Amino acid sequence: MLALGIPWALAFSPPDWQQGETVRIMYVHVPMAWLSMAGYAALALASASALIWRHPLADLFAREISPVGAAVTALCLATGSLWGRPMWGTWWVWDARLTSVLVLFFLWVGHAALVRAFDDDERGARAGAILAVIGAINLPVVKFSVDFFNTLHQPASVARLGAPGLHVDLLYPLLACALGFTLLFAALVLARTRAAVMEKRIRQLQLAQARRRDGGQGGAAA
Amino acid sequence: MSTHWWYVTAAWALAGLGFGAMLLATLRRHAAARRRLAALDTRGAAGRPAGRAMDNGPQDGAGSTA
Repeated sequence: MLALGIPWALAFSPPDWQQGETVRIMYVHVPMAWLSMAGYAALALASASALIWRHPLADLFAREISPVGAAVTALCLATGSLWGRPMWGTWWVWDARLTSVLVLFFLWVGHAALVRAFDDDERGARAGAILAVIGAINLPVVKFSVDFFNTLHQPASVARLGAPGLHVDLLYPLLACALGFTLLFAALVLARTRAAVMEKRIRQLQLAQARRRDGGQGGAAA
Repeated sequence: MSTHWWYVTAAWALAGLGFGAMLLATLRRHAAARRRLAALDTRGAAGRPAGRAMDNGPQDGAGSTA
């Protein structure tokens, strides 16, 4: 999907009549913004299910998605800055959209750090899950910040009521890139979760081996 | 190459580097876990789907010593 979307976005889509070639940053910035929010919604859902049903896989999923989500949100902020500099004349402004995305980044990083901060994995997962669920309050703030506040950031042009404000020549490559990055994000998170499950099994096997050794030595001594 | 193209290149390079690094790290971690699991689990658990790995824990070993 990215093999189709990236050349389409960088070479075959037309430049914007106002922004010129700079509009090509949109094809990477907007998917990162969508993924940072959709990923956080997935984290909040996994955390809620971990708190309610105590499913161990939900804890592992939450633990593994947060570093990827933090990286994607950092990319959203960085590419936004690189877009803002030529278009707004500044790298950063403290407007509602940018600030709420920065808060989202801190929530991702905070979650990743919190679940790893405890010696007891279960306590770390529980603390992280509570943070993730409470932090979900920030998602509507990010989404509607451009509608409720007077921001330098433009309002939504694709995900809004009514028809998208983008011409199809720009919209279709954007959707192709968004789908490609989403699949890559999902593949990364699933591969990390699968690796974490295998690492858990390795710890269990090592523990079992150590117990067997201890048992054998105890038996020999007796 | 206009100045604006530098910003475009920098944005896409950042995304490429970021995702590339994450992908590489994940693949290496996955391969290492697979290798270690294959070495440890002589009953052929490495061939089993990873999701099944959580079904039976250390109690297997503890049970066998009893």
